Amino acid sequence: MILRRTIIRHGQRIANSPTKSWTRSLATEVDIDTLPSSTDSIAASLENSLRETKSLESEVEKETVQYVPHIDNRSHAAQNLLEDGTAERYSHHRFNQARTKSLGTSIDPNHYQPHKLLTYPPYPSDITLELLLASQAHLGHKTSHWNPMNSRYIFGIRQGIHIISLEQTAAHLRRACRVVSGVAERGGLILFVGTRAGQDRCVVKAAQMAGGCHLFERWTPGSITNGHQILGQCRTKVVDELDREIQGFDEELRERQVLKPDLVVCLNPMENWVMLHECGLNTIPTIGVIDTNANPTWVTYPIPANDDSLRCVQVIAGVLGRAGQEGQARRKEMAKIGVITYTPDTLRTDLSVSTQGARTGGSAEDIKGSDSGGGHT
Amino acid sequence: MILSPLSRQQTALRICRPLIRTQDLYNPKTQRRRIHKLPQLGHAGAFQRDGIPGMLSPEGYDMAWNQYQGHLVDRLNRLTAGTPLENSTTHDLILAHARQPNAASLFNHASMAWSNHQFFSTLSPDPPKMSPHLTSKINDSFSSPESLKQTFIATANAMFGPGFVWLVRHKYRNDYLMENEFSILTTYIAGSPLPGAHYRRQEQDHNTMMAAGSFGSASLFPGKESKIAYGGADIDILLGVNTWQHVWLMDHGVGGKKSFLEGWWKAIDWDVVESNWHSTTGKERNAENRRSYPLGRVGDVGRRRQTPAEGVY
Repeated sequence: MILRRTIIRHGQRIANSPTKSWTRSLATEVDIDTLPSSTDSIAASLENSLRETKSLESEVEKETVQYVPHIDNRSHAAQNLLEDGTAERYSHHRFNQARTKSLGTSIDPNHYQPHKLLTYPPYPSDITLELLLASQAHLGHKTSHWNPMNSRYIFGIRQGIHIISLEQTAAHLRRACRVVSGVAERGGLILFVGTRAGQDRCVVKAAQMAGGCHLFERWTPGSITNGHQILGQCRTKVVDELDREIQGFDEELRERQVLKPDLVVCLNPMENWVMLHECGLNTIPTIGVIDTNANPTWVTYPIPANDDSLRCVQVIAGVLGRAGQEGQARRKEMAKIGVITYTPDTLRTDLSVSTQGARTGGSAEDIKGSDSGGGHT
Repeated sequence: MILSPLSRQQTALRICRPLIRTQDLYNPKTQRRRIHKLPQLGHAGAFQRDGIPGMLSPEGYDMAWNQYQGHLVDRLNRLTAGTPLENSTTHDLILAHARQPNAASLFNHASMAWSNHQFFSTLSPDPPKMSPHLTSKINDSFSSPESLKQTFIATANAMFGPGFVWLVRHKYRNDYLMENEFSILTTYIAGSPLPGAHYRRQEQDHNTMMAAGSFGSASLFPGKESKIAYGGADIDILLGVNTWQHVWLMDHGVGGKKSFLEGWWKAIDWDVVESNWHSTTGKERNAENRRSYPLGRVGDVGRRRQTPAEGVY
């Protein structure tokens, strides 16, 4: 196989460049006066080289199966090369794989595969006590490290650690899902924060699904309280109800305040207490995974669960991301029929006057602003 | 005597001691979840009652399938339980361990389980005849179905020792050289016909065929080895027969291999064989386009399901 490939490669090279470079190089060297006799010999050698390449080509063709495109008799057009049987072979391969994989023993296909939590996150309807138990959501910290405010979430003690009641976890998680989907439905900006090692993928995935923002590196203190300084260089845009960007607001956006999130989901509140404090100062609701040693008053909607288990965090982030996805889908469906689920922002710029590709019809109609003060809580 | 009723009571108490010790009831070693289970055959009920006419009696079927396949399933569970491989399918175990001599036991049991299941999946109590399409394809390679039968049975008979004999279809063949579409493949002992496990195909008896001087560049016929790259998915496995003695010994006796093979030929379900081939006739191609083949996505927690949520982990 490898040998054949090199022959094809070299054969193509030889076949593609038989005469051009040769004659060009000769033309620079050959004297014009001596041309007639030289041309005879040149012609002869050209013929020889062509004969050689032709024989090489025929050798190459013998080894491989050439796919000549079929020509349709009626239209005299060459068929697409993709119709050479590749699609059929691929579908045959998939059929064969599905058949042979199921032979031998009968095995449960629902077993846990770590990557599936990131590629196919669970839905809010998939929240069961079995899922939470298997994800180690019930494992709290040493009893001496507890925060007594969490006593209502604790089921008991086993082997020196507190066990979180999974019924509480499930109920709080479902409530958080409802909050996330509600905010997304009303066009709110959700920020997913998870700064521990390994939490980046699930945070990004959740933000993608919910149409929000993600943060997996350190939160810069003052990003909300001192947003003008820290996030002042970030680009903002004005979109309509169908999330299409509207041009012509650059000047006005430069004067406006920096964006603040409408909801913050924090997967490790113990490390991000500064961010949660800033959210509190700016009346931004927060959702947080509260372990037995965390302070539940730091967040608006606590989810009592194990924040040290990556699997548990991925399940929670996945489920909240799916809830955001559902909310976004509902909002877009409503927008398609003309129902706007939020109070649009009022902006100064009058687009009917501007000349560059602007939407006609008033400045303050159907424009979704980029400020959180538009009643998005 | 006054004492004797008491002693009788004590002996009665001793007899009534429970057979299972309480410490074993909660011992994780005895309470292990079985991940591999015995697969369900389509005609299991009929086979259980009447056996396979001409080929196996109900007891013979029980030995060859229920007991032997159950034994393989049990051994696979023991070999993989508690390891990261415990959720792998048999097919994946075969491909992963074909080149690992240290995992020979795991490969052997997985390969036997796969091959035995493939063998039983092509049997039927009331088998249909070969379809015209398949007959014409067989005629191209073997000149007639009768000739195929003779070749098949002769090959299986000639194999000394346990193994499997397969009917395979070559996907990538050189039409210029007029290579056959179908051919017969033998795998000795626990060799696997799967393309990815070619390292352990074991298609020849080394004592007779692969002796020194019979292969390599200095042999009598050099260059006979396949030029297809290793690992290439070059064959479809359509049909196979298990020639291990435990399958036919009970019903056909020590010298009854040939009569077993003759009986087996009559029990082959040719529709299943054709569906294994994934025939691309017009009707079937349309049917295939309507089907969807999931690739490892069955039972995902996050996938939208029509049925109620199954166990999620």
